[in-house]
Formats: sequence, C-alpha cells, structure tokens
Amino acid sequence: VTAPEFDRLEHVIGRLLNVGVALCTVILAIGLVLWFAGSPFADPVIRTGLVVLIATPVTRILASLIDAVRRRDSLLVWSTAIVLTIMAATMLYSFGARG
Amino acid sequence: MTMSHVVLTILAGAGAGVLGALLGIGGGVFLVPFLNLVVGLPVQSAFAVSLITVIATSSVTSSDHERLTLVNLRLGMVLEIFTTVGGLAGVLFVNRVSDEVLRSAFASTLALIAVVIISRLGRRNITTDISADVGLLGGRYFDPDTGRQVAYRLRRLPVAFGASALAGFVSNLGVGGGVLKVPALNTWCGVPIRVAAATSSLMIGATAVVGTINYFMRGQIVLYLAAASVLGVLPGSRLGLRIAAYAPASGLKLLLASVLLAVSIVYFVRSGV
Repeated sequence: VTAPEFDRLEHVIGRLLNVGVALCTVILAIGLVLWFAGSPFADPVIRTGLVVLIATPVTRILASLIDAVRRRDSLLVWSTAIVLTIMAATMLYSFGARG
Repeated sequence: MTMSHVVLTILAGAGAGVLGALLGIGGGVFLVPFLNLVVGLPVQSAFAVSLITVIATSSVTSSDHERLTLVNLRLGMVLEIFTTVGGLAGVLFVNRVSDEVLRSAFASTLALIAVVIISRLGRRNITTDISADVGLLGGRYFDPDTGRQVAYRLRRLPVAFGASALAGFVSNLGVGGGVLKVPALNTWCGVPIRVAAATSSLMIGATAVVGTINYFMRGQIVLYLAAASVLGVLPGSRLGLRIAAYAPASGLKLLLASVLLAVSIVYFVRSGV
C-alpha cells in the first residue's frame, strides 16, 4: 500500500461526504418548510432527506470496497464486505420486526 | 407548542453539534436528554432522533480534508466490523427491553463514559521514533502539538475490538460511541489521540447506520424533529471543528471529561434511577 493511493481514496471519501451532507441539508430544509406550511408532502420529503443521510456512510464504505478490490487489499475487501453484510442483515431483521 | 419545539430542537442540535465535533463524540450524549426530558419524546424516539444526527456529525467532521489525512482507514474499517456487530446486538436489545431498562442503560452508559475519561486524564501514549515498524494496522501522522512526525503501532488489539463492539452496542442509545473507542484506542492500544479521534469520527457514521436502520424501519424516528436536529447539528459540527483546530489535545480531554460527568449526573438525578 503506497501513500498516493490512500490519498486518492481520501479525496473520494471527502467528496462523497460533502455531496451527501449538501444534498440532505437541502432536502431536509425543504421538508421542514413544507412541515411548517402544513403540507402533506412534508413527511415523504423529510424521509427522503434522511435516507440520503443514512446512505452517505454506506456509499463511503462501498467506495472503500471498490478501491480495495482494485488494489487487491484483502484485509479491506473482507472488512468492508462484512460491514455491508451486517447492515443488510439489520435491514432484513428490522423489516420483519416492525409492528 | 410543536413549533417552538422545532426551533428549540434546531438550537439544541447546533449546540450538540458544536460540542460533539469539538470532543469527537457525535453530540448524542447531549441530544438524548434534551429530546427525552425537555421535548418529552419517549425514550426510544429520543435515541432514534439523536442517533440519526450522529450520522450527520460524522459526515461533516470527517469530510474535512485535514482530518481525513489523520484517519487510519485500515484500522477504522477493521474496527467497524466490531462496531456493526455490537450495533446489531444493541438492536436486538433495544427491541426487546422495557423503557425502564433503556433509561438505566443510558444513565449507566454516561457514567461509564465519564469514569473512563477521568481515569485516563493526563496520560499520553505515543511512539515518537518515526523509523519504528508500524505493523499491519499502525500508521504515521504529523502532530501539530509537537510539530513532529509521529509513528504508532497497534497494541492490545482485543481491547480495541471490545471497545468497538461496546461502542456499537451503546450507539443504539443515541450515543456516537466515540467516547468509548477514542480513550481505549489512545490509552491501551497506542493510537495518538488525534488519529483516534479522526478515525473514530469517520467510523461513527457507519456504526450509527445499523441502529438508525432499525429505528427507521420500525417508524420510531419523529420526522420533523429529526429534520430539525440534523439541520442544527450540521452547521454546529462545522463550527465545533473550527474551534477544535485551535484547542490543544489536553484541553479537549479535560473539557470532554467535565461535560460528560455533568450530563451523567443530571441524567441520573432526573431519570430517578
């Protein structure tokens, strides 16, 4: 593992996080304004903003996985794959556990 | 009434964001008591709303370029296996126990956090020999406190794994969990405080995803309050990060300990545990 390769991944991660934050800020702000106005669209808009927020770290891990596969870094490939699997398992379990 | 709650929640989110970014803890420690005791949300919903803001704090504090260069990505990714497993165990726990149990679990978590930090005040473990072999998970970084390059090697990996699993478990209580990982990584595992804090704040977002997915799927996130706290936390975290750049590491630790002890005591008294 050389330093420049890691730097590139850091740049990608930094940009992904910035885009995720900006996008969710705009959507949530619109959602909250709609909520103040009593609009029926407030809930789905806010829900979308929250999904973008949740998806941001997940996308960051996906980017790490793609980078790790390309560099054949097996430690990172396995750890990212396991983490994504646990997230998917939680989603399936909680979907089944809802009221 | 709810209107003023929204405005108050934005402000509280901003305050939690500042403190969270300043201390590397995600701000949830402050938001849960606010949402539960001031706004009057049921305890699980307070955890849920607080936890989703933890993701926001993590994304903001980690996107900073200077902080990203401090992050040890390999170490963070390996530890995330343990935080997410702990997170899933926490999901099974919160979905099964009563509100009483959740309240005492939260109060105990705060007490544990305060004790951990106070017991390690004044310690500083870093290897300054830059030619040292850093091993599979160690690394090097430039320390602004001493103006020198610092190398570090991971020691006592099981401690790091255990602390990560515990941090993942308590994330379901709306807490980032960095307050447990950072001291463990610094005191026992030899990771410099700035590296531990930067790595932890990136990890916290992924860890919080597990608990948040659960609360989201079960409909326990109060949407307008979640939007309000996230919109407060985002600028708050950015501000906290700016301030943190000028505060020395030892000052950060002292502030972290005193703030947490105060919150812990308040919560113990007011929750009547």
